Amino acid sequence: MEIALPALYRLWRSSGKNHGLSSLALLSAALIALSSFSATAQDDYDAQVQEMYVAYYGRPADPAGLEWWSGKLNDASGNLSEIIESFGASDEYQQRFAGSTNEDLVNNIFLQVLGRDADAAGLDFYVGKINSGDMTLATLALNVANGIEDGSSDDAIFRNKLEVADAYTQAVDEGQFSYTDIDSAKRILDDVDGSEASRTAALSIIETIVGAETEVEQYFVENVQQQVLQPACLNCHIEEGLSGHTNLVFNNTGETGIGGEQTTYNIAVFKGYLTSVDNDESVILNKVQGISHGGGTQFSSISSEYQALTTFLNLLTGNVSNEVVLSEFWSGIGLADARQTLRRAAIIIAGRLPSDAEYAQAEMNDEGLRQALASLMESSGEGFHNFLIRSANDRLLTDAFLESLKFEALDVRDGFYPELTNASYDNLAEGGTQSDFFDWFSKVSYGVTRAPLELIAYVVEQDLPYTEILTADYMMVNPQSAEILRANIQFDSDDPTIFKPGKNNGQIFRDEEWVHENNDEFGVRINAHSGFFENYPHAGVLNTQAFLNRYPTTETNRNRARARWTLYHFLDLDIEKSASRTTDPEALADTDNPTMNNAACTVCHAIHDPVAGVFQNYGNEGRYRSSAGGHDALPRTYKQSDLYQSGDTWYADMLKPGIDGKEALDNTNSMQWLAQEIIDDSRFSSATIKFWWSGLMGQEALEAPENSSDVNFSALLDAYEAQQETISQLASDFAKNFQVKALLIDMIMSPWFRVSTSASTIDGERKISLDNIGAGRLLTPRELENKSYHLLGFRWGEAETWRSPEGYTTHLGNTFRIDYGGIDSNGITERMRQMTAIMSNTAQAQALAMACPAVVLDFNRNEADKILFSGIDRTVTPTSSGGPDLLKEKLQALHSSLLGEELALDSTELTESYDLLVTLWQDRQSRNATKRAWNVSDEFACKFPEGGESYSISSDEAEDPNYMLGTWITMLVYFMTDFSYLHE
Amino acid sequence: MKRRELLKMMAMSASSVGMPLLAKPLFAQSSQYTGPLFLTLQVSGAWDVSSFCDPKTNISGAPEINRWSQTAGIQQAGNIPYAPFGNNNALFEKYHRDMLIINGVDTQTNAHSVGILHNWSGRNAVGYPSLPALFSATYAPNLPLSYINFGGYANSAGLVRYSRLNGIDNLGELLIPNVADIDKSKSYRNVSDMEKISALQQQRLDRLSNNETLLPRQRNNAAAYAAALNNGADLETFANTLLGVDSFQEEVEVGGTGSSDLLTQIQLSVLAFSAGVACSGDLYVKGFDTHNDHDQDHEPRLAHLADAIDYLWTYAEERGVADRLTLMIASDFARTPYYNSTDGKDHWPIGSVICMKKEASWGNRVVGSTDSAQAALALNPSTLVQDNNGVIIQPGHIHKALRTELGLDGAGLAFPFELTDDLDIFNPAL
Repeated sequence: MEIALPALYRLWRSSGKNHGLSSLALLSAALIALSSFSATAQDDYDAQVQEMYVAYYGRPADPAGLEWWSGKLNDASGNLSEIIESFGASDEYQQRFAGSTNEDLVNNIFLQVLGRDADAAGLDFYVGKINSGDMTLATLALNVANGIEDGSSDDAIFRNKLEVADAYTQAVDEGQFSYTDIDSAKRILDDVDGSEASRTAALSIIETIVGAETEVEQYFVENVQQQVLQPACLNCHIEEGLSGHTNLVFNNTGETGIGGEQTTYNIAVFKGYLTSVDNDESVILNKVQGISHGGGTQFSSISSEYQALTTFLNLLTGNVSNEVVLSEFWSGIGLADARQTLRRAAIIIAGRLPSDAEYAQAEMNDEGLRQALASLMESSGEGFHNFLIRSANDRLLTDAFLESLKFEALDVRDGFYPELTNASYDNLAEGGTQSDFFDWFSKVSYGVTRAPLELIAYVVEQDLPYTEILTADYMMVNPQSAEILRANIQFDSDDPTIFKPGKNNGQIFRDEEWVHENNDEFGVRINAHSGFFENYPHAGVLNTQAFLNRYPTTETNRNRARARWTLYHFLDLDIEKSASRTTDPEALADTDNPTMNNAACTVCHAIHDPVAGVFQNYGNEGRYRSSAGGHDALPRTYKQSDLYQSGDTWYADMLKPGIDGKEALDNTNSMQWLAQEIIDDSRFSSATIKFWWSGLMGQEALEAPENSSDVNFSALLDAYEAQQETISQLASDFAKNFQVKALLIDMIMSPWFRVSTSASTIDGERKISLDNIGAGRLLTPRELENKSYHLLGFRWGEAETWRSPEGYTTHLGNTFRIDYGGIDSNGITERMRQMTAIMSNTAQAQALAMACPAVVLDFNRNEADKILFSGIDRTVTPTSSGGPDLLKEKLQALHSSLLGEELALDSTELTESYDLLVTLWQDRQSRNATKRAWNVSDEFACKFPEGGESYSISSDEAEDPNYMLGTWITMLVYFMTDFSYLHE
Repeated sequence: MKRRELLKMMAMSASSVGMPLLAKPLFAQSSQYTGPLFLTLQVSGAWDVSSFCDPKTNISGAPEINRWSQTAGIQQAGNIPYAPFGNNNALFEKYHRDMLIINGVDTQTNAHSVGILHNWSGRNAVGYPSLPALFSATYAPNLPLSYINFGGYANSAGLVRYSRLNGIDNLGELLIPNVADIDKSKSYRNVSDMEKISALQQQRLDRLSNNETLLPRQRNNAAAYAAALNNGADLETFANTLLGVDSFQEEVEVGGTGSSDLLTQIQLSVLAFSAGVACSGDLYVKGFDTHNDHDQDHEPRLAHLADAIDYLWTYAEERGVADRLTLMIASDFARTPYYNSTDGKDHWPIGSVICMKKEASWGNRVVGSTDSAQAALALNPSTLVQDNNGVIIQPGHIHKALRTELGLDGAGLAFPFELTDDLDIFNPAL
């Protein structure tokens, strides 16, 4: 650097402003002069290019750019003038400085080179040159840099900047971090002045970046590359993949470890993408949840994969987590008190109301409430059991076999269960009728159908680790299913609703010793076989006949339905969400085993098919190794193909049995292996929370909103993220000991169950976010039936029948279940959550049918046995002595027990109810000449429920001398059709 | 099945006591609905359109696509080609003038749940309502059974609530609940007492609704219950309609592949329409997922479907509602244009949609097409003729056009298809 002043400026000044040379000629001369100072060695070229980068762009050169321009300089034999204009004509410069004035641009170059503005004369000079076209900014930058006087303060500044720039470029070149953030790099140079301190600080920052990058890279390699990118993103987001046209295209080749080519490249892709979206990592995080993502849901926000990706992106951006703060979500929302909470929980999970003692315990404090909730589960017997069965069936839908769905595994003619097949044959052969057999068979079918649900209930009720629903080396059997399964379990009665743990020892194989006869009259009989299979590899619900048959397979489906629902129910992964993508014609026409080879197919099948393979031993009807010979469950057509090799148990043209890249090595017990893999997976806990969510909350766990352009998208996203946060916390606690009772208590204690009031009117997006949460949930048919049963003592329409395993049917449980919004687990699988006209009529029909017998029966009970009307008798009227007070107190009690309302005696609601009672009573006196509970001229006689002597009513018992029985009947109809009776 | 005894007795009781079966509750609607009607017929499991409305014959050297084409060729009814399979001949010959066939519809998936979502909401992301929900919200949301769903996709996106009916048995008890089920000459409770109860319940609901501390669920459910109580009164009209029916449909066995209550669904829907208590609904029939023995199992199902469609239009005509009815028929997607190793057919994303309306100006037409291997062919969005540079039809196109045809654009504003091309599918000139 021999030119102390900017060369051209000095030349111009020394020229006396006019030496007869044009400005352009002067510029050329200056550049030629500059070039004469240039070294010819490549290192010198590199140094000059770095100077150009710092002076013109104000940032360190990136290695590729340095190499490129250095090469160009070499090609120009070191003549900078030949490349300087090209160097300056970049998109980068246009983007950064478009719209700036020439004064600003000149000053900016002085700032970049010397850390200060140009002096006034220099500014005028250079701006004039720029304006006249005699000079470009690039040549100006070079001129300023080369004009620095050695040893000057400017020289110190520029040298420091160059040293820092060199260090930065070198670090990038060595792969210590990626050069994706130009602004950050520029800021480092901006802060460098002539001081040693600034130089050291800048170099320290670079070292820090190197360290941080190492941390990022290490985290990426250890937590993201194999866990997130490989199984999910790389299925599509690669150059030749379905998402190769997007702005996020990774590399799936090359080394993946620290410093690996693929690692470096893919981290850079993430960085580049984040830069393009202003470091808003939520764009990526939303997509992996399925939000605005053509590839659907890859990971839920509570999965470990999602958490890993979040951490990685936060490391890249320096942002903090974008989790919704729960306290903000619930701002202004009030929880139900302990009494209300306990009541709602009791009706839902126990099918009854709490006792006074339970209320008292709950109202002590939160711990008391928890203990009261635990008491509900421990002491409610059938009520809690039925909640467990009902809730589990809402998910597994195996009760479809109790409706019209055919249970293929129980086809008596197939002969895999000789005790079943021969029972049918022998019954007819010994003179029995088809109905004789069917009575027993229906109980067998009930036992096998309910096996998975009863296992779940058993595990929960026995306080076993919930993991046992998948790992149990047994199934649940009732007396009749135990017979065909040869479970060798003793029962005290033949009640088909009693279940015990037992093993399936009842299947045989169709091997060479299998001998059967087929009689036109009596059916099939198994006369010989090679012994029973007594090593059935039970894997909890997964290989119960009901689970396997509810999700049936075919020879082309190859257990994928079973795998799909296993992933969905127990690992919180909806693989079909990933299948909602364009299926292009080429992929459709691909006959080269596309599920293994075509990216359009492998996106799902790479995850899906190994799990399907784990079900390898179960044929279409869910029987173990059901092919001829009993060595496998492969279809005959496949075994006749060239693909099949003797001893195979799974298809050679499918991925091997396994999950998440791990292979199930033992083909005899791959189900048990899968069960263990699932329970070891953190997703099992979150899946469990979602499994029980709808049964308790009356609404499915929220799905991620998928389309960001939807109305209410942000409101739905807020709710989803808040709920995911809760689920994450619940899952974390649940994973400590896998106790479902404790989980249910935690869920009940959460705002999602307990919220009941708002401090102010809720509207707008807030209304959307808080939709279908907390109190006011419509009771399902069974919940309403249980409530009425507990409060009134009988069930609407209960009728004994041998056709039902419970021994009876009811109107809400059977006849009108669908009309009242229930499910049949088959074609209708979603519950209705709001009242319709036909449903309100159903509720009214229940009230009308039940009110009369409920009142008449209760008034004829001993005082101690009364359910509804203790404390009063039929002579207490609005005009009898003390009558008004007694009646108001009774109404107050009925508001409490029937509607869950704790009212003051002088409250509006109680006054209205009392006024209604008085009006009805007065009207009744004018109409009812017969003085009976029902007025024969305009009211039907009570229809008393079936169920024995206790329900028989004499004429005297129906007498209503003071018209109060009839009045109470109508009042009970009023209560039973009230909003608060039907919703909790 | 003969007329239900229950209903006969209800009629006798009403006449014998000389009063209405149920006192008219407050706020009851007084007029029956006489506007347009809309039904979907959701064919669950994925139907084989190559054996139905997008017929394909075998091509030498290519995998066999249909066995029926070994002995028969494609048939033609008017402008509509169809496969000589099942009971197609009767269906297409009788109704081709009322039919618009839309072939080459790309559902973009082979997964049942996504196919159902896409076909019946118009997109493959959650959140959009079904067409009957939009229809009900547009024309008659307050009818007591405005939107009836018998299964399948029925997301109403909060616009309306759908109702379900569990067949005809015992339905009378629910339509007129204050008539004793075993002595139809009697009400359970005095009618004037019930009126008093209804009045007070409305007042209680009003007080509840005015409570500013309510959460959305409480407020919405209270509003739903209030509407249900108000709208329920006209169910009596439905009961009276049922009284005039001579016989009711029952479940039928479909060629050994299982039973179907589709005919019952149809009868109930048409009767609800004719009673003026409903305006839209979803019919649902399943059993079409024939991965094994496709021809054996699929043919009776398709025949049942054809019979049911015929029954729908015949019965709708008989009950005087055929002129007002539009029907959309579709399935999850379709089945492969070849047989698998077990003579079954697997999932295939390119399928068809059928729209029907009596003497529709847009009838007797086929829009969209597939090639010989049942791959969708693009069409020009303006002319609807095949155009390799055009667009592939997706369910969203059909929903968008059908919304306009049915007059649902207003209700659909909150659920737009902004990025979906306008295909003037119902323009008879195209």
